[in-house]
Amino acid sequence: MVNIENLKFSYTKGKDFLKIEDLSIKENGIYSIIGENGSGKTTFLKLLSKLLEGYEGKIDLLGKDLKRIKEKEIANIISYIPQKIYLHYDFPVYDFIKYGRYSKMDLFGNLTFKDLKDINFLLEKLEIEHLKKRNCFSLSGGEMQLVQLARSIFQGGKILIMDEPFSNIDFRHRKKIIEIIQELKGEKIVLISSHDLGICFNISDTIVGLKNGKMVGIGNKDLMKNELKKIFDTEIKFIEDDGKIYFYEGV
Amino acid sequence: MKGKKLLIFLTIFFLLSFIYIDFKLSNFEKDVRNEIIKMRIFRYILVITSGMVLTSSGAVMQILFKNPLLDSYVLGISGGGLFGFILSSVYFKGNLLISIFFSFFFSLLSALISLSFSSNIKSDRKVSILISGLLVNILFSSLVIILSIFSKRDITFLFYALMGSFNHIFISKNLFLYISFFVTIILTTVFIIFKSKELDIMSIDEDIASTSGVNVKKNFFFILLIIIYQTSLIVSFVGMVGFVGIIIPNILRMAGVVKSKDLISGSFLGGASLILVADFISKYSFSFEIPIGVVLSLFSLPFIFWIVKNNFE
Repeated sequence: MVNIENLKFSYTKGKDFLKIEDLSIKENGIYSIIGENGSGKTTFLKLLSKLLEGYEGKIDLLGKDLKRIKEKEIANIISYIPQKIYLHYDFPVYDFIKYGRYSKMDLFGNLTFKDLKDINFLLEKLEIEHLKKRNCFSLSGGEMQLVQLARSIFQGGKILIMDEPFSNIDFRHRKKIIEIIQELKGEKIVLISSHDLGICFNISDTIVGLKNGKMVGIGNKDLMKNELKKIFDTEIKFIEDDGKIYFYEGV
Repeated sequence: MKGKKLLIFLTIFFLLSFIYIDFKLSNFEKDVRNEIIKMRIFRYILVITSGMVLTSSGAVMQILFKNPLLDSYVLGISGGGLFGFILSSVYFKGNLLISIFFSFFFSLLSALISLSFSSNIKSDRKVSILISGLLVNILFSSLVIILSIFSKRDITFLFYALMGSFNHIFISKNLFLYISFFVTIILTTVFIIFKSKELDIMSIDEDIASTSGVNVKKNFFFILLIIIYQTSLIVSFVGMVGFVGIIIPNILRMAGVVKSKDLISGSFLGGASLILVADFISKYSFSFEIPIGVVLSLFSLPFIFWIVKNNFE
């Protein structure tokens, strides 16, 4: 469903920032991307979301060449949650979620009755009904992340891309987000980049390691736990218990 | 916007209009009085149109650039437009169409210069666009002054052009052209209202906007182009009137108006009311008329200070 061949991208000419020779994702599930700061995680996710132009190579999403996907079509393929959202002006939560289906709106910005029902269903499912009448500025980081998740689920992209969804989020909201992602994995490809190895290893079906813009390993957690030293250049200690992996710095 | 707020706004607006048109007319004879009212209605239409356009364009620009201190005056668009207008009035005396074309061309040029300046300043985007706008404004104001001196214009004309005035309407009395420009203003405004959902999403986050299916670049430049056109028209009619586009949208935001459509429609009423009051003051506070831009700037300074204090850390 996602097929990448000979992908090359650079911010400055002549210096490849990201270089992925071959990566293919064939079935739904949770895919985590791990790596150091500056290893190209965000760049990779932005490339997939068609937010960066000027790459070489080929990216196929759901059998379509990314370069040929039209603006309005991309909304049905990708749902993107950025690392940090910079809201310059306040905005109502309900409309924030509603604009997820911009591509289906009519000229006056109205959605069909069914779409509106979907919003209410989602609000209920994510337990954020009480936020419905509030504005984004008044939300906490965790609440905002849930609202963003609701927005991107409402948008309906087959591939859900989340750039560091767990940074600066408290425990309760983190747990909620993980629960929702795990429910979604049967019907969507969920791509996550994160520094939280514990979450990555315990919820992902496949883990991708990036280092200096290159892929250094892909596989399930049993395979990838031995590659960690190669990815992070340092000893990372972990304890295995009951099929789960717990990381600690070892200091 | 909520119905009640809108109703209050409308009432104030109509009261203002009544006072504006009928002020100090009881001593005149009927014929003279009718004649004056006719002139005042003409002026009144010009005043509210420019108030609406300047304010709504300010609101839209603040959304486009994510900067609450912007309007067409601050970005330097008005300065460029005025220069173009005066340049053409020197070389093509009195041809309104050519003048407006020149005005539009130089507005566009000044916007491009502003944008390219700001993209080269390595600072916070909010600050860099303000600095580059300031520079472009200084550039074109200086050019306007040079041009006026070379063409041996009356110096008061220069004052009124740079600060804006409804008394010295610069254009010829070609009613048909007037009406057709008025129609284009209405059409472009309607278009912008239809674009308010794109504006909403773009004001949230540009990455989210593009992955939701909005062509951010195309919409940005298209909407900016329309604003430049509207501004260049207004500048050709009344000169450079600043700040009304900053004050009203910010007051609306403070009052809890957040969606683009509401901001724009609120700006119509608020901008028209404010500029009516300002024009009234500029007309009657002294025995002679002072430029409306002066009244507005004096009135806006505390507000601008307040906005800066709240928005720039």
